[in-house]
Amino acid sequence: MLKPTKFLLRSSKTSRLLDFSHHMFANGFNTSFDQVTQSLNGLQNIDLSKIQEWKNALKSIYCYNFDTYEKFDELFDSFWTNEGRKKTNIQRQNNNKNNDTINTRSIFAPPEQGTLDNESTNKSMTDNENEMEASSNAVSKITASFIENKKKTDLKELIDSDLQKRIHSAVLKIAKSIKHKRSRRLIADRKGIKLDLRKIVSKSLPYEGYPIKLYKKSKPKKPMRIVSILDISGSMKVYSQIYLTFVKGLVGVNQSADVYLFHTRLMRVTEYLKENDTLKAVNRISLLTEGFSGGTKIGKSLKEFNNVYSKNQVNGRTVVIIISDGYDTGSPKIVSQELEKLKKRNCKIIWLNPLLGWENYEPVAASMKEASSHLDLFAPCNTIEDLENLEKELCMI
Amino acid sequence: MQWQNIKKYLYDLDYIASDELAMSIHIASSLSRPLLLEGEAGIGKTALAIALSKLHETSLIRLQCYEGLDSTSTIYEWNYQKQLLAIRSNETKSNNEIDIDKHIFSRDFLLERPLLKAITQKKSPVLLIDEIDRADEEFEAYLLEILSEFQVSIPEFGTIKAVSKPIVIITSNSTRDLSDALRRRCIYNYVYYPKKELELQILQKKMPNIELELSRQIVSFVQNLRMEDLEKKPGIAETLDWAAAISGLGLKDLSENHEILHSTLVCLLKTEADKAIISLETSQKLAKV
Repeated sequence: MLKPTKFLLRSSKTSRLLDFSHHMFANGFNTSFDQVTQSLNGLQNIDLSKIQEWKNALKSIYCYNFDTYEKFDELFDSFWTNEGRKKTNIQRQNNNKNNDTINTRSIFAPPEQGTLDNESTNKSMTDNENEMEASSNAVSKITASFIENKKKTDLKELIDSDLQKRIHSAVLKIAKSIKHKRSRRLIADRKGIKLDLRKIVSKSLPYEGYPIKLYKKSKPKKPMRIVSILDISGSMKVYSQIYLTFVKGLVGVNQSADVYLFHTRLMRVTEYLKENDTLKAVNRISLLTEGFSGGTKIGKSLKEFNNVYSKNQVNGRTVVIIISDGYDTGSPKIVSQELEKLKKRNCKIIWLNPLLGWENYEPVAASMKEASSHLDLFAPCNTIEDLENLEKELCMI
Repeated sequence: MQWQNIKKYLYDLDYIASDELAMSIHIASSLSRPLLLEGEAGIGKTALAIALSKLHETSLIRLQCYEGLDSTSTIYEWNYQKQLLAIRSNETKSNNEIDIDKHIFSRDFLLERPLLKAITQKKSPVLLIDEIDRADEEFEAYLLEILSEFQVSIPEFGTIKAVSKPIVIITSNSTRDLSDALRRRCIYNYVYYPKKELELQILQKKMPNIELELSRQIVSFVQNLRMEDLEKKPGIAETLDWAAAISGLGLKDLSENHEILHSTLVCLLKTEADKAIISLETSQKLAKV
């Protein structure tokens, strides 16, 4: 039986549904007043004493895609069985706590010279408990390379608002450089090659059927779709905020762009990145991914991507951008197998590796070695210059 | 109509809907909204539209979407040949251009395509817009006016309002994201692979000649097969095909002849990689579980 809640005792049906609508909105659903009115109308012929019935009814009204459909039951129960308030409070506390942490940590504050990344890199590398090569070899390489590269500005040091502007301009260039593919569809075009006979006939009617003016059509260029898969594991932590800003920019420039984050599991975050304010969006994602545990499973995450998303989201008009340092706690063979599967979808695969920017770096990580044979482009991305230079490389593929 | 009745009537028409789906149909019909169905291929999205047309004893108008679909093949088109002939034949009778214009841009010269046809029927038809994700995003814009206002605007002619509101079923295999504007106008349901009990009911309803024990084994096998790491998991349509094959070969028990069983898996496995994953040993194990 439904537990009595404060809402039930003191509120009308409309206000309860309004509260529910706010609850859903707070949890990432796109809700509007329209859904409240629909709910009021739709619930008229439904037995409200049976919770499953009106749960199904509200589910039909409030859900609009697979993700929301999956989340609905939990959110419904948390609200209507009197657990919603508790959960909301916890979330708020967490949010505040996390915000505090973020402020004190100051994501975009520059790390002190010299300590750069010994602390953060050590910490992140030790996340990969099973990956000895990551923790031992890479730290020394990164530290050594940093001395070599100190004249260049590393992404993790860029924290002011110029960062966003520069990233945005790099994103614009990249989005432009990713070639369009011609569609099979023909549309009206003054300089088209084919004659549009249908239009010629219809427009000739006033001239008794004589084709005075010729109309043409051509196959339009269709934009390539960009799918980004971003590694936010411990070893990538120092870069993840910057790359989130980068992929946020991609979503802004290319409406069909799709973004996934992975660590030990995969998560689709495209919806969350549609927030207008970049910092808000990045912080929101950071909060969402707090629960991810240590370690990196590239192969497993790619497998999940292939099983759940790629068959619908990836085709010949897609460019898949994987941003990862390649350090993996899983089996490298799986990475190779999954990239091979992905490649069969006729897409372009680009792997951006921040470590590739360091001098003398070689892709020694087993996963990176296995992956390299399936890539259309393997490029560095640890400086803004690298991101900007991608434009030239992308024109070539 | 109550959702329980919808479920019952659909059952009588050999379509077994889950509670969630029956409720979505009920809500869509009571709010006069299109029903957007998403889910894997072969789980009964299109079959629902056919069953609904039988339930309401009305016609089914189907629009199969594909890339390049435009208004001329979905909404209306002028019959140009007829218009030209009409101009020629009227030349001697009248020289008044306006009269000819009015004449050739009348309903007589209009070719109705599925969407226009759906709103001009006396009795509400079931309009099935199948695999909308295959059509271009621009096509969704055409749909918006029809789905929200149930009218079509033709520049040369005027606005044609719906005589009766069609029952609209839109299906998608999620090969691309649909626009928020379209989703907002629809009642949504994601159709999952059926649970064991539901699939058994479907199989028994569709193929009553198969014995209950064999039906159980078939359903159990398919359910286990879906848990394997396959590229294309078998839907209900595949289950029914496979059941027909098993029945046709005269098998009374799945563990009776493993080689025959394995050779019939072509009905369930649709890619080379999937066939490689399910070896003879694996299929034996799946049949025993």
